[in-house]
Amino acid sequence: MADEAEKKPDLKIVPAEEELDEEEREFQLLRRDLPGVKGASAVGIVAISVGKAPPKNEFCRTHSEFRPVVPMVNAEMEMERHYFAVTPDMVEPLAGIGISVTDHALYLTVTSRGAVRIVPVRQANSDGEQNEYDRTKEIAMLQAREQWVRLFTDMENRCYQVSLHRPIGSPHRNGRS
Amino acid sequence: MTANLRDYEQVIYADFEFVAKPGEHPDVVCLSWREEPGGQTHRLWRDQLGVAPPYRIDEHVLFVCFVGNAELHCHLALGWPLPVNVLDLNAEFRCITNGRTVPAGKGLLGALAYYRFSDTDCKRKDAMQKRVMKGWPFTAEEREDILRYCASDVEALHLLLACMQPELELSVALHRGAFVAASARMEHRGVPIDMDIYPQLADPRVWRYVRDAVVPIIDADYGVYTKGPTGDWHFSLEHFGRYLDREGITWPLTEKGKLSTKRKTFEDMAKGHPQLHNLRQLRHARDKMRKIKLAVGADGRNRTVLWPYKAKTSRTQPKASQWIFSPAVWLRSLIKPAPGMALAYVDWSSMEFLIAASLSNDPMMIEFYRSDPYLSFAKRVGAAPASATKLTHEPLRERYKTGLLAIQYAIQAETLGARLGVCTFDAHEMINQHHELFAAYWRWSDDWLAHVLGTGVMWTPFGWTCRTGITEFNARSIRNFPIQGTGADILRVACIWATRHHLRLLGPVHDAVLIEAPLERVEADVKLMQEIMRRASRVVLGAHELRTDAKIILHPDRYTDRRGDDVWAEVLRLINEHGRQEQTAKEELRHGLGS
Repeated sequence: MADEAEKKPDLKIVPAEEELDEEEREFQLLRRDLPGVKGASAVGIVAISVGKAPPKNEFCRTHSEFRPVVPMVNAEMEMERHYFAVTPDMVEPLAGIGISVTDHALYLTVTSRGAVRIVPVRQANSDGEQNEYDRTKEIAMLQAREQWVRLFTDMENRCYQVSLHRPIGSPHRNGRS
Repeated sequence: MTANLRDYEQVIYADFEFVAKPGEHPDVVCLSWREEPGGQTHRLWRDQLGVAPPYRIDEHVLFVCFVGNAELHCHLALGWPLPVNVLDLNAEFRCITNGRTVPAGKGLLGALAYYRFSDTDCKRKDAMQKRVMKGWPFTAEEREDILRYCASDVEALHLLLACMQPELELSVALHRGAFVAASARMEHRGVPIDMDIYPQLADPRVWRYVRDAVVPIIDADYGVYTKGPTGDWHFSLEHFGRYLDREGITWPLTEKGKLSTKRKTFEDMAKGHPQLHNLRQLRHARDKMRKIKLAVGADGRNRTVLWPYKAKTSRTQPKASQWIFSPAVWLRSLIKPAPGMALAYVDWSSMEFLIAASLSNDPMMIEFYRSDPYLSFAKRVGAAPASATKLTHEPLRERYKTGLLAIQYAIQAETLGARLGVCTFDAHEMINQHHELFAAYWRWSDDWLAHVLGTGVMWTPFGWTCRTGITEFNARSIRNFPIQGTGADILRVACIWATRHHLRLLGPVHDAVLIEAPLERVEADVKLMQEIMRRASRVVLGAHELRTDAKIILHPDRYTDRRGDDVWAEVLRLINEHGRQEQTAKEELRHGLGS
């Protein structure tokens, strides 16, 4: 066989700390980093996602201007809630197959650890009715334009409560709004 | 390495026509090649081919081909050395179109059609290919037709490269070409098979006997097969349901609420419930192995096209029925080194775990890798005592290996619970613990998912790319892609590197390689291979290194896989039993005739 006859060169076994040898350098030239390693994570943004509320137990702020209102379908798939933005011409065909579309205000939030998340808040329907969870969530989102807030669920009253961040030493530290 | 086409003194576009018989080296019929600059196309029939290639193959020349492992296997079959620089347009076309729909397929004509050259006569190509495959002898007219057809493929190659050139990154393409060349060498060598047993197993009469007789033996532990009125064995869903109840295994259901009988379901569930391994193999033997189609040549070597870059993640994907490392694990016991030789199966330890740790730079995952990550996780969630080791808790470790890797790719709690045999609540808790422990990994994984969905493209450190959003792709596949793709990158670097150092690679096996060496040299070769594999992981991962394990098999021992040992022992016993029965029948016939 053609390749077997050639002389077998030696490869020095070297400790990992030693300088890379010529072959290793050659292979290394072809390598490039994947996004995420030196991408968004490296500059402090650790996740961009859409979720029904900001992450639990984390303070967040919302963007002071970003608040588009878009028609959305809000569907629960397995254990997760998914939001689909819908173009206006799809509203009627979707209604035809029993899927209702409601307006949602989108709030762009960032947590103190850098997770960027878009939080949709369902708006009041044509009769002016709005779920208590949505109403209190919107209050929190608006408050978060001005200061750091944290949401938690008030199961008894079926709404969200907001915990405001106050400096250490403040008499109302972690007081609820 | 030259990284521009214009820097090469010559570009050779080459194509062979050959007769491919299962397990044998290609039987070369003719060769055609085109030389650039100049543009002359040459054609040679087999009797005109000499002891060396009729074209230059040195470092100043670029060798362009399509499905290079086949073309280069022809080189090796003719005793020719391989070109230094190989550009395989099939590998490049697969990379360019990975994740896109390719209406006319991924063959040469499909590639031309993709670039809007559709005037090639597909029917004529099919007819010519069929004629070549029929083999010798060829009439003078056929010879002329085949030569003309071969030359037309070379012209097509020239056209294709012109189309693809703007999208090629030559340095990376040559690296891929180097792996194609390494694959050709592996295909050429083949895996040594025990020729005392294989011919008996390949005999349809013997296999039919074994395939039927093995059912009641293996099924004794399960009671899920029933015998029909014609004497055939059938898998009974009803009995299987009862078996699952007895074992307390929750089994995935189909949309109609029936027990899923998919091969993948059995494969996944057997990982979490090792008692199902034998049943899975029995089902595979019954459903998929009506004949043993392993491609074994007259010299007792298993050879098949390895199909590098066939999977979306760029992993090699040989045809399962022809390749010894197929899902029928027991069949691997046929692997046996030739006299005076040894084999070594060298694999990376916990490869997918460390790749995930390294890509995300998760300090906790890296810390877990210092010991056994799967067992460490089982200890962490309270499933194993602190004193547990791989030896004392192997089945549990296997289950948690499956679980840990599945969580890494965002498995649902219900599925995980079924796979591990724990309740959904515990599975939820396990997933939560994983998210808490390896928070940095999850941040990276979410970031990767968002980046990929935002850009529509994903790639590996060595440039294998895949578009998302056109062909079906779900979030789990996107999270899995960088891990599998990076693993494939590491394997390729190791194979190229080992080939440079003349190690006898026989085949890549997911996260392992099989090598062959003379008995007196095997330990040194294994040491060198392990060193190369360690360095290859360091090259691709940037900073972290993977450990390796090696299993050496010296002649006259054979390769064994724990998961297939029981079935293999039964198969061997039944082959012998069949031999004895035949012998008795012959003797009775002889006595009958004598009396």
